[in-house]
Amino acid sequence: AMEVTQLLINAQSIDGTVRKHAEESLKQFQEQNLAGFLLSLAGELANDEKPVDSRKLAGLVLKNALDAKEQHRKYELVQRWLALDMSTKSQIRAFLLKTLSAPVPDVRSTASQVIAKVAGIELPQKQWPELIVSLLSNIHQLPAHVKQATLETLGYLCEEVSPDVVEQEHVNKILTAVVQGMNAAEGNTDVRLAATRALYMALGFAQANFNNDMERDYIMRVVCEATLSPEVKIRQAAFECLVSIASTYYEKLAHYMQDIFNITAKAVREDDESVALQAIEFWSSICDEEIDILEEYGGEFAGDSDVPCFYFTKQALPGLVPLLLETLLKQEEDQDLDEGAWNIAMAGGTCLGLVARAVGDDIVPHVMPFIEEKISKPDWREREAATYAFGSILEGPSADKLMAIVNAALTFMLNALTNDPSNHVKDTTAWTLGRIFEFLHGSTIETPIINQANCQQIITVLIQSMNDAPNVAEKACGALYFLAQGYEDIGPSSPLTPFFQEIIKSLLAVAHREDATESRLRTAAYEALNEVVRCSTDETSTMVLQLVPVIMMELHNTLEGEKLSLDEREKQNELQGLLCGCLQVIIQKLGSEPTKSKFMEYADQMMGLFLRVFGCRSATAHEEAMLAIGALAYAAGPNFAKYMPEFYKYLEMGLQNFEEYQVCAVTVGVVGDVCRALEDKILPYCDGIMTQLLKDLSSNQLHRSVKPPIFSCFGDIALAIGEDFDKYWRYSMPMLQSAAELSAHSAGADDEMTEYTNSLRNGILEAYSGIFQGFKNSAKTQLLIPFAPHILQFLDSIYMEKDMDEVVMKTAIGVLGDLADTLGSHVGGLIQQSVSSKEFLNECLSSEDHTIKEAAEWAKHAITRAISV
Amino acid sequence: MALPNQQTVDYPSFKLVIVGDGGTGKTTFVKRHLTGEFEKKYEPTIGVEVHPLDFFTNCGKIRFYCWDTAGQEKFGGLRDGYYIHGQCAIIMFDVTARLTYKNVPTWHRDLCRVCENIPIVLCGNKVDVKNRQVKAKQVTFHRKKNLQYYEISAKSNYNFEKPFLYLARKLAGDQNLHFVESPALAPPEVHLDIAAQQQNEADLAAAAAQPLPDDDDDAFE
Repeated sequence: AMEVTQLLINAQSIDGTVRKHAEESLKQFQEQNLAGFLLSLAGELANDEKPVDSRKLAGLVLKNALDAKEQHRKYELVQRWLALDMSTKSQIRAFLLKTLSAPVPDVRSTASQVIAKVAGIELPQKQWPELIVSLLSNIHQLPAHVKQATLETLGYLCEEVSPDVVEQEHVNKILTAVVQGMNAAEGNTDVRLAATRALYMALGFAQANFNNDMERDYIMRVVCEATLSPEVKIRQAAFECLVSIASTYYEKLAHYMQDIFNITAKAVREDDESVALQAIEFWSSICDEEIDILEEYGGEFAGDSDVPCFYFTKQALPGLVPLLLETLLKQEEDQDLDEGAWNIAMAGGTCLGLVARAVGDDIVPHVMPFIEEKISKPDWREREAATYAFGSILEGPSADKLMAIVNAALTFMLNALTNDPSNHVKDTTAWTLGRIFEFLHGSTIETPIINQANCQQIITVLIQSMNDAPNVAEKACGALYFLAQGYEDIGPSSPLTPFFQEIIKSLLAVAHREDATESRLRTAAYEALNEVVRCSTDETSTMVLQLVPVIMMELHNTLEGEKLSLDEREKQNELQGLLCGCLQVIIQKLGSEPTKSKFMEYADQMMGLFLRVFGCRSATAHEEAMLAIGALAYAAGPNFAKYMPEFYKYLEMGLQNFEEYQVCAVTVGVVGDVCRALEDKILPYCDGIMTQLLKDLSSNQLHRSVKPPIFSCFGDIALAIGEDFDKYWRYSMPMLQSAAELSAHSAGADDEMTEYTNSLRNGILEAYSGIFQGFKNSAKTQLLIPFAPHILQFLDSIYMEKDMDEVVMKTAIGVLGDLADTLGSHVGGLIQQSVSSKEFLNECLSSEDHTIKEAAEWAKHAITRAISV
Repeated sequence: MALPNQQTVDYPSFKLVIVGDGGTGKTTFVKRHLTGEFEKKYEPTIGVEVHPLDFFTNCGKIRFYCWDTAGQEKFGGLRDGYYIHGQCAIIMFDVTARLTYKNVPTWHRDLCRVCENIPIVLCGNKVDVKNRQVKAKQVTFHRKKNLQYYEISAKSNYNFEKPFLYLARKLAGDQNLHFVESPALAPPEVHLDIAAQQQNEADLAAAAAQPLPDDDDDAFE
């Protein structure tokens, strides 16, 4: 075999030239002589005389020659391996098995992974039949390090291979070997650890064994015992098994919960943080499962859930809640300055929040005594823990249950936010106020928390806190955000009106703080400002109008191109994005009567500013400016035409931006806005726009998520220009048809694909809908008739696939109606032959979703007319 | 820990492996540190690029050799072969693309199989983008694996240093270690970069083949 040692070492060099040269040589070797290449790698891996680094890489390269993440690539590699001659393969296998007894642990571990990959290919083909027997025999006789490597191999193998292709007898023996390796009787720590990790990997493989009561009892007993091992790594690995079992075998746990509670409690209280975090995670996982199950209970498919809820969390409450509350007292000194902090206190709080969501009202009495006892203690840790506990349980329990407590606590919280000497306590208090407003304030709540008596105080305190440290100020802005949101549908008069001016002034002041770029403070301030404006009423529209020149001035200032450092320039771009976002909200607020005419006086200047933002190089700012322009077009209507000569080139640039596909996506949306605004005045720009959209669709560079909205955009254009769309016919119809075929064939692969397929279908259907409506009553209607069979077929195929979502259902039935309405008697016969006009229509007519039902009734009406003529 | 053929520096250096799906912003993240500039263009990484990044801490200078690996399998080169001797790692996903989060466990698993027990940070990139698909609440993988999680934005610099600081503290075994000056660039280079930027802007304007729109400054006076 060829000498690969030096190549493999060079391929790890930090020097790019050396590395790339080595990679290139390896690649050449592989291309010229695959069998020889793989054999050399296996030989390198197995050779104890060679350096560890080259052996490890040899193993990994060999492994990667057998497996890939992408399905088609994987398939090719598998076929390539299967086609190799038997003698090469058996030599490689022998090298691999030999390596399991190598003295160097890293090398053994690499060999384990390669063996599992080979097994993944060969066992389903009934090749390498002696592998499992040979591995199992290793377990019984050999030195500890071989036993360890063999267990590791079995773990990988269980993950790689489906139990269906392994005889049940072997499945059982593998499991027995793993579980015995975990047993306390196993004297060697490395072996026990390897076995525990192998079990983690084998949990899915062991389904049959988990279904058998006796075997499951045994496995669970051994796992629980391993959580008490003197070795911290084994304890952590055992808890990781429990966490995984909590999600995989939730419904089989009832019998073990008491024991598991005891061991998790012990770990949370006494063990290393790494182990304690896993013990908490066990309960978080149980809560996640129960929250999901209960959501399904409450959802449309009541009783359809495969797995019943066992209410483990509820039963554990009396012990679990005190356990979690204790963890809240173990905060780190500076954790609020680090929002990513993850420690036992954060994990405990997260779990407490999940418990509240899983059990609802029942958690309250378990937490209240802790809060009451600690909230006024001299030690900041106790006050912070009490506040954190309070904030954590606000989502889950009913408003009725929480209302009295929150009302009683509100004054205390406001006081703490003003006067508490601890930054931590203030941070958590402001966060808790935000949660109160998020979950317990709004039109759905019967007795409002915020009333005339306390409104002023609440706002005064929040505004004061905006001068506090950045982390506290940011959370105060967040609280104000939810406070404003709660008044979203308040009607003509908002309680915030008297404070409106002061709130706006304060938020602008926060945005101007020198330290506003810390803790996301500036972003939080603008988000709050936008929400306050969005949820404001006509009472304050004059003040919003006054805000327009102020924000425009700010945006103008960011465009003054002095020599800025890079850092300043970045902050400037970020600010531009925020200000464009703010203007967008204002445009939507003021862009209709009675404020529209006054607001529109600013439109020219504003458009000028947005166009200048395009001159700066910042994708985020571009996106925001584009969205704001879309809103402006909507408000301006046909008058937007005067901006088109200048704006058009940026529209085109946006549509050409493949790299930052979000910019492209946003621009596609704005094309739709502009079409609706301009109607037939868009016509002079349509050639350019359609050319670019068609290019986008045929690009394989552009992110696929942008393509469905492009089809919808065809619909917008057709609707705007009516029968003039006929000149794009020749190009757009084949695109639509081939996309329709694609969406019929790619359905059902996985959730991700189904979701994409549905968005693609929706885009195609919106295009058809726009085209039909645009051509209605036109002399050119007949041009559409030849496409009717295809469109009906498409509708039928979507219906038959049975995987469309409600959005597609509504658009699809709408298209059926549009087709009948526009083409009338020309297609009456065709429609009657389609499944869509019968089963699908009937299904929609009896839909519980009233928008679908309405669309269906209209479609039925249109069809009746088409047939009767 | 020097690899064969590896030039070293006379202060502590660490191999940092950066993994994650293609297009999640790994290269942008590293390059932003190198040049302080946000790279807009997406060019997939082929195989691996190694970038030395220096940070100044209260305990002295340290260097991360950042192994920026290809996210796209077709450009993957040696794939997990690049992880050998990794001493710490960053796993990146894109909060606007759910699939990239769903693949995090696989990246984590592959990493741990080559480098056992190294400190790892999970980074959710692009927090400033409005259209989020992965809500902060849905990021639970770090809980399962005791990982540190940060939301970052390669565009706006948000939390940019946090992953490096966390890893530096873990590697030094010193929770109080901190960076003493911002890792920004030596001043002379800044001028060069500004020149380059102005060139970029000129290019952009030329590409539009039109003068930039007139300013409407007077209206504000």
